Amino acid sequence: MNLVMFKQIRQAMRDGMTKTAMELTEDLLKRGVSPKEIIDKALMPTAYELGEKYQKREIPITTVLLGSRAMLSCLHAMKDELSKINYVGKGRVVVGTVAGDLHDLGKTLVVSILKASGMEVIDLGIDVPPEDFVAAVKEYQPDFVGMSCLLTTTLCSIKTTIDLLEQSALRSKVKIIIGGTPVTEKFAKTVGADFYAPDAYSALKTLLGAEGIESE
Amino acid sequence: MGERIELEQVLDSGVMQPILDNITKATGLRSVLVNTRGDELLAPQEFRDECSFCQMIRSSKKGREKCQGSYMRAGREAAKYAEPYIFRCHAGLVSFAAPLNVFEQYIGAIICGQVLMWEPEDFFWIEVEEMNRDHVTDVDVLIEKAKELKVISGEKVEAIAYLLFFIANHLMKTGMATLKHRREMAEQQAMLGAEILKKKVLEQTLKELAKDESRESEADIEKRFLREVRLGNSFAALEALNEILAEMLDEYGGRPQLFKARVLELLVLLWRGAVEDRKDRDEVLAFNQTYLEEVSLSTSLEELSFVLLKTVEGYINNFYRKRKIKNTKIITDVLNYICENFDRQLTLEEIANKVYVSPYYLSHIFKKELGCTVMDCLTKTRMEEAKRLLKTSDYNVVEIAKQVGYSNPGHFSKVFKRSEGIPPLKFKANPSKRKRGDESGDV
Repeated sequence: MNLVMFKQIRQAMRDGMTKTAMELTEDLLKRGVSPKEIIDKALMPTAYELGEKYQKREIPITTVLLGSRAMLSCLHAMKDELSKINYVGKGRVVVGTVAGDLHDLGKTLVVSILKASGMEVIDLGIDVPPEDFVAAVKEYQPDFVGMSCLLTTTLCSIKTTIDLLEQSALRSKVKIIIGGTPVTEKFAKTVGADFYAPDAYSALKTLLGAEGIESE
Repeated sequence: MGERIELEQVLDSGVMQPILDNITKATGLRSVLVNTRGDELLAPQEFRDECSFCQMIRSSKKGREKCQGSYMRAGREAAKYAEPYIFRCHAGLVSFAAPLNVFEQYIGAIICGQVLMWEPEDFFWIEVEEMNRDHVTDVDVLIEKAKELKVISGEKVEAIAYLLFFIANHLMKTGMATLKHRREMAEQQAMLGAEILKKKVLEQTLKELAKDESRESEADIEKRFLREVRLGNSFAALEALNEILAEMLDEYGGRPQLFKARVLELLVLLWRGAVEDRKDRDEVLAFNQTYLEEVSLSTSLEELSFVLLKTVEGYINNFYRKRKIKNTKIITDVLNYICENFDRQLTLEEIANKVYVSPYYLSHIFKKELGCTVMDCLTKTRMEEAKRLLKTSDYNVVEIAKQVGYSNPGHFSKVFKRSEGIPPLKFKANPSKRKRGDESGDV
């Protein structure tokens, strides 16, 4: 039965049926299904699927927008459950993209789940220069800094940012997680990042994991 | 071209106002023109103010700033991806932006929407509250106002967004033509300036030598001018015309009415010449009519000179070059096709098919008229674009090779080196070694 309902949520996201998606999530929670399972089995794969289909121009952006709303409504339904997750202290993360798209469902999902699960997220947005990261670290004193980039040409600005944090004597105060298409594990090691995330979802897992909630 | 183009240079509100008015009438949605900072420049007459929901958001400073930020970002995103950008604004409504790009420069956007793509359900009220509570004091009132928002389907949103996008593109093409017209006029002015200077120097020299009689008389220049027109030598004809114009400016520069009369006189001469050459009288008359109108509407000396120049070009192309016109059309079509498709693999067969001639005949025309092959032209176009990208973008050579239609970067580098004398990487790194004639003034 649960499997059928996961399937229904996925279909509701594709069709932009916000109300249905939200009600199904509420039902599942009542049945004792954990938010993590709903995210893993319904939201994440569909977010990924919609993002990919849009990249290939198989679906219009309006479908992505509607899907994103449906997804957010599910997360809203889980808000209370998510906030119950026991952290080793609630974390604070500053995220920014060196170059990206506002329509990135993956990032929306990560940011929303982090927010919903009680983490404080400061989203610096796209095209964030190294100086802005440093300024944000000074101002918000986060536990994590998340950086992603999409083009090889912008890779070096990740290194510049980390170097600048080092020079400003802020590097040791934060854990740095980097990701994005051109980023490799080797690159992450070379530039001295703490974590490497091959995609948005593993970024999420790393962040939550590092906070001590990954209970697998 | 380094200068910044402003929206006002390309679009005037006389053109834009009826477009916004009609979009609004047809769709029932408010469409506005914004600049690159997201400031609203023009709104439809019937919908001067935003809907009450947006008015409430914009009543606070923070709300207004967020609104402007949304528009600014949307316009830029739209320009970056060169497609209509459909988005949810900071307050939760759906809007879309069509970018206005001139010569690949983003100058502003048409933004339309402030609608919903769903019937509001409980979750929407939650969203409205979450998205707006830090800049709206009474969220309940805002929710009441949200109930008045228009709801349209995603399909319709897409359709309107694309329609706007097509209109914007078309507008920018026209805008570019206007800008080009101005630039051409400026170029002509510069040429005229040079001619006047030449004349001054010449006169000075002649005066000194006291040999005034050896100079070509005004009447002689005029004759030479008409002869070159009839021979279809446009370059020589325009050169002679410049000499005449320089003379005219000297003589009548301070008396625009007489200057105009002299322009008309030259038009009549061209006209007589064409009739004497047994061109179709009606056709010549009709042709003259259009230019006569332009002359009578022109007031400045610059405009008049420009119209005259255009007339002469028109005469040569219409009446003294008829035999070539068919080929010109094919050649222009091919060049256009190349310009639009050089980013992918192209074959001579495909191009020839597009203009409905055989590959053999097309090669023949190209060799005869342009002295090069179709594929030479294609390569040249690709290299020009590659140089532009190398100079202005952050793309690496592999990406640039792909963008100009080469799947094999090695092959691209080879062709580039053969064409430009140095490999692309060196070209990018060391502008000083670029071939002569390629430096657009950058140090």
